Amino acid sequence: MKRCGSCGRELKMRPFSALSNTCEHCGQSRYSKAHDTRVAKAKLILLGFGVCVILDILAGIPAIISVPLLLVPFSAFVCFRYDPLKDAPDEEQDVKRETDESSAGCDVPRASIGNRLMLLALSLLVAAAIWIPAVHLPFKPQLPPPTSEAAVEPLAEGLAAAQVRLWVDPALRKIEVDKMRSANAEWDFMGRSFLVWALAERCLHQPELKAEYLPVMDRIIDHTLQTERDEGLYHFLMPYARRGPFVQQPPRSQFLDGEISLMLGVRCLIEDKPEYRPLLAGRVETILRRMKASPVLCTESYPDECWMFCNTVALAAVRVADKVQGTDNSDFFRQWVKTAKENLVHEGTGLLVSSFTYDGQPLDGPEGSSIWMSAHCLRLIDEEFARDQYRRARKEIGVSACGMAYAREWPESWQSPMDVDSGPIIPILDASAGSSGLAFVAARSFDDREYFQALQTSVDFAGFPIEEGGRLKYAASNQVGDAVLLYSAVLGPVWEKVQEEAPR
Amino acid sequence: MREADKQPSRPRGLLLKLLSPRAMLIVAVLSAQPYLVGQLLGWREYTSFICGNLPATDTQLALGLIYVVSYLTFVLAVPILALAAAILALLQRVFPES
Repeated sequence: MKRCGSCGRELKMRPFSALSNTCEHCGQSRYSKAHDTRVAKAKLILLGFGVCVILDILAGIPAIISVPLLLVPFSAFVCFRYDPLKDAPDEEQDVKRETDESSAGCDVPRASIGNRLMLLALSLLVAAAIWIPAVHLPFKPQLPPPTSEAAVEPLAEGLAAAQVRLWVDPALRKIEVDKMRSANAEWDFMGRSFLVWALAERCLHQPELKAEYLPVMDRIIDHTLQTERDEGLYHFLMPYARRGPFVQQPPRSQFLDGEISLMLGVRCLIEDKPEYRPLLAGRVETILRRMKASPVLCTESYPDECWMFCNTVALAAVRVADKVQGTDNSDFFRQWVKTAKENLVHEGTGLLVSSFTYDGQPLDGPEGSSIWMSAHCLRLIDEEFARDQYRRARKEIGVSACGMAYAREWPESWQSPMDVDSGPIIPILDASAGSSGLAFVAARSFDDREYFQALQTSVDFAGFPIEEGGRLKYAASNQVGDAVLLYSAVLGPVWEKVQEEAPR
Repeated sequence: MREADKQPSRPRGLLLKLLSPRAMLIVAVLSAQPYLVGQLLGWREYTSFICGNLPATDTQLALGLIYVVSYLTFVLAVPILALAAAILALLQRVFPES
């Protein structure tokens, strides 16, 4: 039973009665003056915290500065030197009631516990305000200077060593591949592609690595081509690929053709290999023929399902092949960009949609797991359009806070259920593993060093890196995730080489 | 009767002790233990579920989940508790409760 602190009559407990502090009998405060004083002080401190938050949002003054300089002195003043109810009449019986009745003979005044609770809450608040903005500091990587010609991120050495080892030790690779294929057969294939592209970048950074990396690249390419021949195109696709027929016949997947062509292209760009030349020429000719025959100059990766990711990778492969073979498809590239702008751009964001039917009807809106890589590949086709896509993606789905960063899978104006491409979505933050991984590629490609460093900080914070014998892997990732990180850490020289003396 | 009446004061005294800097430090140290155990036993290996790659067994999945929770406690809650203990001690020294 609770009694009013002013008239002493029993208080009726109604729903939401805690929201009102006046007694229904006498209209006075139903609590003791000491209680009301504590509540008023707590409200003032909360108000001070709110001011700090507003200063952070509006004036850009970080909590790490405003809390110790403003909130702590203010709170200490409110706690110990300020009496918000000093003009209210003294109620000696309040103190008496607190110590004699409510405390039931307690030798510790109730007010002490109240003060201690307030101090404790204040301490926790201040500690959180100091630590949370600073938590990224132990994980913040040192990036090489931007002007460095051979700027390789420090993690590249360890990641490359771990990835190459998988292609030297078949038993180890089988364990990794089995784990990935149980979730998504595509990851087995993409892990190969990203590794070959990354090793090619490293060879251009450090030509002395060719002796070690070229045989590994060849082994991966040969094994992939052999597997495709033996198992068919469905081996690297998800099971739903068998549900219906491809619209364009004979059935082929742009997913495989684009990435294999880019593997062959970058391999020949590093050092010519005559056996690969006809394979590259044949596959690129097939890609172009099928894209040109389709209504929106894009062809299917799955039955009646065209993916922007796959088609932009294919465009990059054609562009690399142009460089290797001395051909020129710039007219087709211009036509493709025009068609894409007219048919494949999401109205709300201006971003390219991620998937659409063979006829060009959008199936999905923009997705992080697609747009980051598409923007990177489009740099070889139309630099200005690619940069615009990156800027829009950064605004719509890139998130930075407290020195860390991640990427969402979908913009606010387009939402979709979680799927195998997005990976698990962290609730509240909406952080997507798939989108965040590929955001590394785009951030590096467009030289967004601030975002790249913040992404790197996040992955060191929550990716659980494991270093062993000079090899590095992220326990929260898998082989394809680590290969994407490796690629993002070293990319640059291949695109630069392709863009040298670009055909007009 | 008077002595019996004073018995309930003990929980309140205990409560004051629990709200002390020392108690906060003890909670911080205890909160760090699960992470240290997980780290020593190599549970970090089982965290691949974050990217959608499920570990081989349900036990590994559970250990991975425990590891992630204990890690976040270690890097977020433990430093906050330790800092808060220091701040509370400082506040009590500057403004003694008399």
